[in-house]
Amino acid sequence: MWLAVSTPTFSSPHASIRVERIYVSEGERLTKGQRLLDLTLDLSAGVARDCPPVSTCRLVLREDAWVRRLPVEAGSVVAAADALALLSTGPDTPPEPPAREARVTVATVLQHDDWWAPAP
Amino acid sequence: MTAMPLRLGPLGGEGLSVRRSGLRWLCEDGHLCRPNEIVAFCNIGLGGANRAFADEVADLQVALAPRVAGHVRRAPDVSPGGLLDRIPSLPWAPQTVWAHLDPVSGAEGPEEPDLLFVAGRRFTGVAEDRAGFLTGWHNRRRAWWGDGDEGTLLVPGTCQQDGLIRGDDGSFGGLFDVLRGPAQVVMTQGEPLAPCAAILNQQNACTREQADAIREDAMRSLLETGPAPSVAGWLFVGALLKGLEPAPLDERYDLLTRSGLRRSSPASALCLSLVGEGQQLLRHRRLGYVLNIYAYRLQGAGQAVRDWLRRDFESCFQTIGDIAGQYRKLIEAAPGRAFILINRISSHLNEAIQSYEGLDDATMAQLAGLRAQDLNLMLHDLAAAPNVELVDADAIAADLGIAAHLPDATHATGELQQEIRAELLSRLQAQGVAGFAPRDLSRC
Repeated sequence: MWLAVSTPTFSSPHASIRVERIYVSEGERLTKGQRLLDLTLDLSAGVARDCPPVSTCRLVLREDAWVRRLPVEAGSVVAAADALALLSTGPDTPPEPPAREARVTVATVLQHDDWWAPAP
Repeated sequence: MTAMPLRLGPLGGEGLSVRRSGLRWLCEDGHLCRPNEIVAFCNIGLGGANRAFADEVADLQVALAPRVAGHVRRAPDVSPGGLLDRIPSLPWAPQTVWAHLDPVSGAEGPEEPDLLFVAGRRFTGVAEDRAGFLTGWHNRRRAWWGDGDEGTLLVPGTCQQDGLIRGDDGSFGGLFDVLRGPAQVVMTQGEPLAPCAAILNQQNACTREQADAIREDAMRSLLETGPAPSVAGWLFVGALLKGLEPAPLDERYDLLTRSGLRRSSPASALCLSLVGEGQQLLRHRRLGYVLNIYAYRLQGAGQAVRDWLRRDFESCFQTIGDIAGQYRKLIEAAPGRAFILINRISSHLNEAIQSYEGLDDATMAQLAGLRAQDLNLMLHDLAAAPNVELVDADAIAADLGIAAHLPDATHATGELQQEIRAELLSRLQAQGVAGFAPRDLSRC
């Protein structure tokens, strides 16, 4: 069975969403609790302003699966429901339309790395 | 019903020459005002040789608030307009009728309005902006009312607290309306240096010599290595260095009241918010001082400034224990004061965590909601002290609804701010902070 990991629907339909980091690669076997990717979520829709409401959401898998396709890369801009990854329950499950969404946790995480010195 | 003349009344006591600008209005002619609602203001200047308000003298204003409800009719000839409404060039004449009030049925009160004084200390003298009520780039804004010196609340300002304390229009009216006074509220604004307990302890302990050494080191490093900062970069660094200057907790403040000039006692209460507690500070590699800067502020600082920060500072992680230690140090440094601590709103609208089971250690350490809850628990421990009170903004926000009242996960609605403000005031009253008792509005 194939599973989809789609961009979550966030609170604002105008959210600007970018793939910040991908932790997995195609063909990899994933276990429950494994990090999939981080999304940068800008609820100001990318409009420049003071105190921008930007956060990082981490998608963590809640079931075992194999990574079959990664249609996005770090830096990709995505919209709600866009495919982020396609998984399968077996390593060689023949391609088929995803039967359902993979079970994931969506957690807001604090950025540790170089938070004080963003790239110019 | 007879219209009541509203007179300016005395100001400053015997022997003090007070001048005012023309009045500027905060409401339409005929506006139905609430009791103690500020409806007009003017700039104030003090004559003579006194040195009061030395660093606030350019932005000293007073707002006028009828003591009873009614329709406010503007008097003619009190607002000549133009720059004369911005410069204190007219004598303050106590008998001046500045408005007439048509009181609502049954309301009665004195002809003299209650006065809300405000003063702003500019970041630099050239940051002049007299466009409105307490407008301009200030690193300290304060407001006081009532004739005396009872209580002072000191609030190191984050963006959250600015709306909380100054209200939607920045006038402090939400406090003045409801508190009897005499009371003073002092709000500092150190951006790009964001206030947190470590920064406040540092400011409290900083000497003039240390501030000079920090400034000289920063200038040397910025000029000797790489290209010089842009003008915007210099302004950023200047504001940053200004924020690092000594700010002792026992500072006193000049007060102008109807009866005279006086110096206030040091702050009797401090209000701190966990919002300012970032997880990482920057520590200077040689001098050891720390910075707390919101990352988005660095976007406009320029490459030279960012390079300076990378070169001369190291990032250091603040554990919950570190922050608790800084809070304890601050509380111990100000014995006999009340501390009102506002916790952090821990709910995140866009989260969907069904279980923490299985999350790896790194992710667990980075969870924003969990860290906020751990910080909130830390405040509960601190609130065991008799002079410490907790404002549970987390519970208030959850009660009102995060989606409706914190829609972008960062900025609160007016209603949420009002609820948190009400809780803040009740905590001040629980601590018995003089001047912060509620007004008696029964006869208004």
